[in-house]
Amino acid sequence: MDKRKNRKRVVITGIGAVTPLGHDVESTWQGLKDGRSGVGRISIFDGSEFPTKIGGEVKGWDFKKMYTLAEPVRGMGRNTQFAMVATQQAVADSGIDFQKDVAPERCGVYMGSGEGAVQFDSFMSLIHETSDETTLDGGHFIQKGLDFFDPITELEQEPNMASMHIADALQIMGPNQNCLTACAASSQAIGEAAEIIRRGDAEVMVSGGAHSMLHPLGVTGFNLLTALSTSHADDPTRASRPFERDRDGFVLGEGAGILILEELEHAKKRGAKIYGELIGYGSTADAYRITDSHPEGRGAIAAVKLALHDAAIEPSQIDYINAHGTSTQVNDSVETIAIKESLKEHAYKIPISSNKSIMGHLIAAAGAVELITTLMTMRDQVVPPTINYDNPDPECDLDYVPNKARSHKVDTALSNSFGFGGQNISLIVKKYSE
Amino acid sequence: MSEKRRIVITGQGQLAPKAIGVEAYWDLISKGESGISPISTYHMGNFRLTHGGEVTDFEPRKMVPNRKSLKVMARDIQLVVGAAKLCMDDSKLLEAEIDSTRLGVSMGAGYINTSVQEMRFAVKGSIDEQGKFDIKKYAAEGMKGLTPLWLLKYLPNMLACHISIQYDAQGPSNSLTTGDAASSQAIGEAYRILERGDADMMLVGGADSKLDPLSWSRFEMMGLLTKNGCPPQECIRPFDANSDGFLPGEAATVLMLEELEHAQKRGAPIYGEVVGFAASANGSPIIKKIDSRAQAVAIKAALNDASISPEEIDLIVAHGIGVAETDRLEAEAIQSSFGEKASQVPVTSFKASTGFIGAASGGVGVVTALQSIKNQMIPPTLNHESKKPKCDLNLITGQAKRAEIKTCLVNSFGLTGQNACLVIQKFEA
Repeated sequence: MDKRKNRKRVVITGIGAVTPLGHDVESTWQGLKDGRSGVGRISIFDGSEFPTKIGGEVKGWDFKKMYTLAEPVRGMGRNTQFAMVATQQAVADSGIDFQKDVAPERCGVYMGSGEGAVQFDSFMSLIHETSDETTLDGGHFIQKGLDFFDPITELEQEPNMASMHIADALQIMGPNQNCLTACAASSQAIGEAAEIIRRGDAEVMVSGGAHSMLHPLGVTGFNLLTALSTSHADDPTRASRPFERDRDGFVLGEGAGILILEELEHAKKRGAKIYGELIGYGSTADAYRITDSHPEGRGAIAAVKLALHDAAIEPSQIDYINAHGTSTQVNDSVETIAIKESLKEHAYKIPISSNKSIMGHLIAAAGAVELITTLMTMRDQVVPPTINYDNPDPECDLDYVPNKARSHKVDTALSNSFGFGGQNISLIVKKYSE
Repeated sequence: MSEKRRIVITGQGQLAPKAIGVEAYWDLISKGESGISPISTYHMGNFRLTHGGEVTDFEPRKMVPNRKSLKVMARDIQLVVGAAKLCMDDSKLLEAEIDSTRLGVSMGAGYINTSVQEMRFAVKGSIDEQGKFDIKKYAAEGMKGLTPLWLLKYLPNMLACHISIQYDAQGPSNSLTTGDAASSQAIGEAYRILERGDADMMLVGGADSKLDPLSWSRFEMMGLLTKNGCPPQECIRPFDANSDGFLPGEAATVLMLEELEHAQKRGAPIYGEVVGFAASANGSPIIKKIDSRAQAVAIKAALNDASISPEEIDLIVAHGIGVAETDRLEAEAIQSSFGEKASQVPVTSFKASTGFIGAASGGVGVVTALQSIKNQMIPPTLNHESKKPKCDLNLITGQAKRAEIKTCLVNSFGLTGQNACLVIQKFEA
C-alpha cells in the first residue's frame, strides 16, 4: 500500500508568531534576516544568582492590550497568552471566518505546547512551612495550599490549555490534541495535524506550539543538566553559537508559533493566499538514552529519510535546511552527521541555518516558529544566517550561512526538530504549485 | 481486496488500584469490589480524606527491567514502564523477529507534578535569616540539593522515551497531554499511524498518578473531591443522584496495537480490534462552562469512523468520574448521540473502583472493554443507589451482568475540554 495515494493535500494559509525578536511574524523575520539577537539578561524573575543569567525573553509583553480575538481569560500563563496572540494573527492572516466559512466540527487544533509555570514562591514557601527536619506533612500541605495557590492559575498550568482556549476562542469542535515531546513537540503537532487533513478528518487545523521555560524551575532543570550556555553572562547576544567550535550549551527562549493548515481544495475555493505546501513528514525515536542523542544520529537520519520518502522527492531537491541547531556540543555534531548521511553529497551544497543562534531555543514552540521562518525564507528567497559563527568546528563542516543572510533560490525546504529523550521530527515544505 | 489496514490488540499490561495485571483488575471489578485504600505513598496527616486509588503491592524494583533508571522516573513513569513489561510479556513480541524501526510508542501522560518530598532538599538550603524562602539563596545553594537529572523525572514524554529505550522501539514516538482524554488520544493517534502504514506495531496507553499532595490540593481548591467522603469505598458514585465528587487515584495501561497481517504472521494473541476513533473539544473547561455538544460530536464521529450505527454498540465504558456536573453532561451526550437507544444500551463506569485517574482513564477503559468482550460480562458501576434526574441510562449496577458483547464504545471526556472516543470490537477474522 502506498500511503501517498488518495490523500488530500495540505497547504499553509495563515501564520502567527510571538518570539524574543518581536510580537509578530514580520518583526521576527526582520530580526532573523538582520541577525539581531533577541537574547539578554533575564528580567522576568530574579535570575541573578543562577548559573545561567540570560535568556531570549519576549519583551514588553502586554496581553490585554494586544488580544482582541475573544474575551481575555484570567489566569492564563505567559505561554498560553503567546499562543492566543499568535493564533489571532494566524487567523486574521488566513482570512478564514471561523463562524461562516467552516463547519465547527471540521476544524481542529493540534498543538505541541508546554506546561505553564509553577507558582514558584508560593510552592517553595509552602513546602518550607509544612516540613520539619525529616518529612513533609502531606495533609498540612494540601490544606494550606488552599491559601497559597490561586485555583485558576493552577488549572491554567496544564499543558493542554492553549489548545483548549484556541478551540474556545474560535468556537471550533473538531479534533483537539496536544503532544508534548520536548523540543520536537510543535513540529510533531504540525505533522500529525497535516495527517488529520490528509485523511479527510478535518478541513482546517490550527497547529503549532507555545512554551516558556524561562522561570525558576525551568532554568533549574536545564542548569542541573548542564545543558544551558553559561559562558556569556556579560555578553548575552554572543552565547548561542550553533555549529561553532566554542559552543557550550543552548540559550532558553520563549514564544509561540501558530500555522493554519488547510486542505488544498478548501483553500483554493476561497481564494486563499498560500504560503506553501506541507509535503513531507517523518517521525522516529532514537530509542537510545534519555539524556543523549544517538551518537551516529540513527533516529535523526531515519526521520529525514522518511520525510523525503513521504514527500516523494530526492535529496537534490532540498534547497535549504532550517536546522534544529541548539548550540550544544552533541546536538550540532550529531545533526551534522545526520544531514550528511541522509542527503549524501548534496549535504555540502545546501545552505543550513539555525534560528536558535538569534532567538534562543523556544523548546516545545521551536519547531512551529522555525517552520514559519522557513516559509518566509521561501517567500523572500533569503536564507537567514547562523550568527556568532567565529571559528569553524572540524566536526561541523557544512554550509551554516555564517553571520550574514544570503539570497538563495529556495523552493523546497527541510526543517528538523529533535526532542530530549529521542523524538526526531522532519518536515518538508514546498512552494505551492498545481 | 480492501486497502484499509486492520489494527488489532495483541498485548495487555496494566497496573491499577489493588490490581497488578489485567486478570487481577478484571477479578476486582467484575466482583464489584473497590480499589480504594488508605494512602501509603504520602503522609496524609489531618486532612479530611485519607484514601484513594493507590496501586498497592507495586514493587518498582521487580517490575522495571532497568533498575538503574528508576531514580530518574516519577511514579507515573515507573508505573507505565511496569505496565509495558507486562504488555510485552503478554504480547510475546520479544520471541519474534521484528523490524524495530516499525515499532513505535504513543503514550498519554498527565501534568506530572514535581515531588514535594524531593523539593524539600532544595528548599532546606534556601531559607534566609528571617526564615523565609529566598530565590537568591536557592539559585546559589538550594537547588544543588536536587539530582542532576531532576528535570527528566517529570517530563511527560519520558513515559514513551523509557519504553522506547527499553524495547528498542525506533518508530514514531508521541506523547499526548490532553488531561483525561490523553491515553485514549494516544491510542487513537497510534491507530492512525498504523492505519496509514507508518508503523506495524505500537505500544500505546498511558499513566497518571494523582496522589501527590499538590494534586490533592488542586482538586480540593477546585471543589472536585468528594464532600462527605465516608466510608471511602462507597463515596465515589458515578451517575448517582447523590454523587458529590471523587477521590484521586493512579493507574497505568500499556497495550500492543498491531497491524493484523503482521500479528497473524507471528502467531500473536489477538484480544480485539480497534475500529473507530475520534477526538473533539468542548471549547471550554467543562468545570467552567456547560456544554455537551462536543462530546456528542466525538461519539458520533467515532461511530462513523467505525462505520457502525448506535444500535450496534453493546456496551459503553463511560468516563463517569462521580462529579455531578460532568456525569450529567456525559449522560446528555450519550442521549443526544444514541437517541431512543440511549436508555437501552448498557453503560458502566469503573471510576468508583479506581478513583480519578486522569490521563490513565482511556487505557483502563479499553482494558475494561477487552475484558468485558472476553468474559461476555459487564462489570457493575459501584455505589449506585438512585438515578440522577434526566440521566436515564441503562447503567449496570449491583452485580456483573452476562451479556453478548461484540462492540464497545470507550469515552474519555476531560475536565479541561478535550474529548476522545474509541470503538473496540471483538476480533473476527
